[in-house]
Amino acid sequence: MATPGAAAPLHRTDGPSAQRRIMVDLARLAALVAAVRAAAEALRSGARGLAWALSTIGASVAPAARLARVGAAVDAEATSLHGHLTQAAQADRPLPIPHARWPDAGDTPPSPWSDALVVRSAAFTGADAATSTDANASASTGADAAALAAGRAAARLLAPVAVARGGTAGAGRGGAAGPEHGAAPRGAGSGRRLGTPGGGATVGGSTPGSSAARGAFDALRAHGGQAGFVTGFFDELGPSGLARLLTVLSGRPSGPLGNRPAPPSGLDEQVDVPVLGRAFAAYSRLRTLGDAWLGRLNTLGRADRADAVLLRPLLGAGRVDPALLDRLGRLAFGPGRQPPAPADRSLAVVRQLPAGPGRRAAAELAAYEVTLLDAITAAPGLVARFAVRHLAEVLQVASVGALGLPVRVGLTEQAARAWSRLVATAGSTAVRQADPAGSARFVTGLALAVAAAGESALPLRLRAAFVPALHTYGAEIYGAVTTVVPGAIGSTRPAGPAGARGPAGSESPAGSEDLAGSKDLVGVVDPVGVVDPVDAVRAVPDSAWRALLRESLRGGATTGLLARDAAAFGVGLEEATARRTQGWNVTPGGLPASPRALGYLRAVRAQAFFTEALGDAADAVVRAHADAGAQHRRQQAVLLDLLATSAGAIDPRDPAGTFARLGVGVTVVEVEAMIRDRFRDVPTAEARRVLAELRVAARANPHWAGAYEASARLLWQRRGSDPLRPVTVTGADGRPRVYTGDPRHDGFITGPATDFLDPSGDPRPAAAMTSAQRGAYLAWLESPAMVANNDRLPVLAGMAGSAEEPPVPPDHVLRPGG
Amino acid sequence: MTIPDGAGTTVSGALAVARRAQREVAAALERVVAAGVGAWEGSAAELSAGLLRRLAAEATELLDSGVRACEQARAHPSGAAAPRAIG
Repeated sequence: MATPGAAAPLHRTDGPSAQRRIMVDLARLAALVAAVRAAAEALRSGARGLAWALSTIGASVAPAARLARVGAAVDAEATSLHGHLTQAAQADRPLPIPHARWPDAGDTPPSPWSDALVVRSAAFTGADAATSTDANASASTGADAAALAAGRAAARLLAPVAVARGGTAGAGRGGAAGPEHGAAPRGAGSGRRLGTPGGGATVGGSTPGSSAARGAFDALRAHGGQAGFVTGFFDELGPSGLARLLTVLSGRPSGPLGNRPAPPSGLDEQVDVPVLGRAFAAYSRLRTLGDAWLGRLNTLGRADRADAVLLRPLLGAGRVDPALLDRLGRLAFGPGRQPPAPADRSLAVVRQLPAGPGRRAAAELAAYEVTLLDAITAAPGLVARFAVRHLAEVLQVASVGALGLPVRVGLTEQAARAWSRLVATAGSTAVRQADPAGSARFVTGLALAVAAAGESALPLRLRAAFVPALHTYGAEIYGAVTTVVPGAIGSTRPAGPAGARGPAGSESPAGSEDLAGSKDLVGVVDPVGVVDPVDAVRAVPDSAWRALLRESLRGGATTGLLARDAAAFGVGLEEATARRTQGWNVTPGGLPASPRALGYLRAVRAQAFFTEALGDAADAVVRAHADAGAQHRRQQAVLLDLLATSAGAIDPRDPAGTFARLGVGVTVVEVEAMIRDRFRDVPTAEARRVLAELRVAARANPHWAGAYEASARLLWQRRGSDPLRPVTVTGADGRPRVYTGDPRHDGFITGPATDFLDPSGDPRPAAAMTSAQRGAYLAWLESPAMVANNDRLPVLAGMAGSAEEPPVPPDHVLRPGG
Repeated sequence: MTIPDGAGTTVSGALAVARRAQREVAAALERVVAAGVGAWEGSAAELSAGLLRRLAAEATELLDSGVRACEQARAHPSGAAAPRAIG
C-alpha cells in the first residue's frame, strides 16, 4: 500500500493483527470497505449467473459454488475491514502526521513472552537509572556509546523541568523498593521542595530552562530512532524524572498545593508527548522496566509508589513492551485468574490505583485504564493471555452493568467498550497466529466461563466480541461437536483417567460440575503455557460451545457469519471425504454403505448443532425481554428478526446450499442503530415461526455418533465370521490405496504410542486411551473401510434426515431492508 | 445479476451471461484495487491485501474457466450433453 496522502487524517487503530501500528486513512478505508462489499455482491451475483450458465450447457456447477464461497470470503473480509474502520473512527488519539512513521517500529523484535514473564521479572537490578551513569553505560549492550552520551546530554537539558535537584537521594533509596505501597518513608524535603512557589519557577516560558527543554525534545525527535540515544535519555531521566516531566507536560500542578496553576514549561503536549511516547515505547523494549522502576515512577520521591496513570499519554504512542503492559495490567486490574476460575467472584474488576497528582484523579484513572486496555489489545502476544485472566470478572461486571440499574455500577461505557475490543481481538485469527497457546487458552476459557455464567444479560458489544473466537476456531468447534469419539487427540502425553489428574478441586472451573469432560482441560492446559492448542480446544465439552454460540447469537451481530461457519465446515468435510475416497465404488461386489456416509452425517450434525444454538438464543431473547419495557421489546424484535434471517437460509441437510444463501449479517453498530431507529413495536410472529420451523427441521438423531462407534466395534469383533471387505480408493496423490479395516495394516497403529487395541485385539474404551491412541482410533473409525463396511450407517443416516422438509425462504427476503 | 428470460435456454445465452459475470466481477475487483491504495498500512493491511489478492485470483480463474466451458460448448454443440469428467 502506498503512503497515505499528507492531507489525509491518520488514526491509530488497535486492530486484531496490530503487531506493529496500523495507519488508517479513514476516508479511503471507508471507500475500500464499500468496494469490497460491492465486489462480494458482484461475486455472489456472478456465481448465480455462472451456475445458471454452466447448468444450461450441462457442465458441472462446482466452479459456481466455489465462486460463491469466494464471494462469501470477500464479504467476511469486508466485515473485518469495517471493524478496523469503526475502531479507527472511534480512536481518540489522532497522531500528528509528521511522526506517523516510527522508524524503530519494526526493528526491535518484541520480547518473547516467556522472557518477559519469567526471566525478566527480577533482571533489572539497577535500583534507579536516574543518576547512576557509569553502571548503565556498561549495562546497555549494543548501544552506541556516543548515542548513549548524546541521549544523556539531552536528558540533562531537561533538568530544570524534570530532574530533581539533589536527586541522588532518590536514587539511593532505589534498592529498598518494597512491594507494599506507603511503607517507605517519604523522601526528606522532596514534597516541600516541589510544593514551594519556587519549585517550578525555573521552567517559566521565557526562562533558559524552557528553551533547554525545547532543545532536549528537538534532539529526541531527531535521534529517537537510535537505541543508544533512547537508552541514554531515559536512563538519565529515570522513572521519577519521567514522572515529573509527564506531570509538567500534562499541565498538572506537581505539588501538594494542587490549586496552584502549573508554570509554563515551554513544551507543547500535543506535539511533544507523542515524540516522548514513541521513544518511551522503544526504551521499554530495550530495558526491563520492572517493579523497582515502576515503584519510583512518581513525583513524591518514593520508591514504592507507581503513579502509572501518568503513563497514559505515552501508551498510545508506540508499541510498548508486552512485559511492561502486563505489569501495568496487573497493577490496574489485579492478577486476574487462570482459565479454570476459582469460586471467588468479586465485582472489583478495576482496582483503585494510587492516583497521580492532580484534581481529576477519578477521570484520569478511568481514561488511563481504557488506554492501557487498548495498548494491551494492540499487543498480539499478550492480549489473549491477559484476556483469559479477566474473563470471569468481565462477564460478571458486564452482566450487572447491562441490567440498567438506577445507580451506576460496573464499568463506564468507554471501559466496557475497551474490554469488548480486547475480548474480540483475543479471539481473532491474527492473535491465534501470533500466540497459538495463549489463543487456545483464551477460547477454551471463554467457552467455559460463558457456559458457567449461564444466560446472562450481557451488552450487545460483548456478545459481538465473542464472534471472532467462534469464527477463528470454527473448524475445531464443529470438528469436536461432530466427532465420533470426544476427547483430545493430538498430544502424546498419557491422559489417564480424568479424575486422577492434578488437584481437581483447586483447578476445576467454578460451577462446571455439569460440564462433563471439562476436567480434561486440567491435563491439557498447562499452567506454564505448554499447550497443544488443538487438544485444549477439543477438550471443551459440547455444552460449553453451545452456550458460547448461544450467547453470541443473542447479540444478533453477524449471525450469518456464524451460520456460515457451520455450513462451511460441512462443505469442507464433504469435499475432503470425497477427495480421499475417489473411485471407491469400483470395488466389486458392493458395500453396505458409502465410505462418504460418515462425512455426510457429520456435516448434517454441524448444521444441526448451530441450529440448536440458534433456537436456544431465540428462546433466551424471548425470555429475557418478555416482561421488559418498550425499548427492550424493540430490541427483542430486532434480534429475533436477525436470528430468523439466518435461520431462513439454513437447510440442515444441505450445507453447500446453506452456505450459498447466507449473508454475513450485520455488525453490532448496525444492530444498535436498528434498535435505536425502530420507533414502534413490530409483530415478532413471523420471526418466531421461522425459528420454530427450523428447530423442527433440525431435529437430527443426536446419538448417532455413539451408535456409529458401537457398530464399528461390533464390525471389528465379528471380523472372523464376517470379514471386512477391502475398499480401494484413489488418494489425493492419484495412487490407488487399499483399506482393509485392519488398523495395523492400514497404518493407523504405528507403534506402542498409537496402539489402541487391548491384548485381546479389541479397542480399549476411548476414555482410557492416551490422546495419541485416541487420535489413531478416531482416524481408524473414520477410514473408508470402517465406514463403507458399516451396515448400520444407512439406518443412522435415515434417522438423521427423517424430519419433514423445511420451508426455506431465501436469505435476502428476510434481510432487513431487502 | 438478472438472467434474461428466453435467451436463457441457449448456449449463446449461457455464454453471454458468463461473460457478463466475468466483466462485472473484474470491474468490481478493479475498484477494490483502486480503493485499496493508501487506505491503510501495517501488518494487518498486508494480511488483508494478500487475502483479497488470493481471492481475486481465484475468482478470476473460476470465471475464466466458466467462460471457456461455455465457449467450448458453443464451438462443439454435441459436447454439451456429454458426460463430464469427475475431478
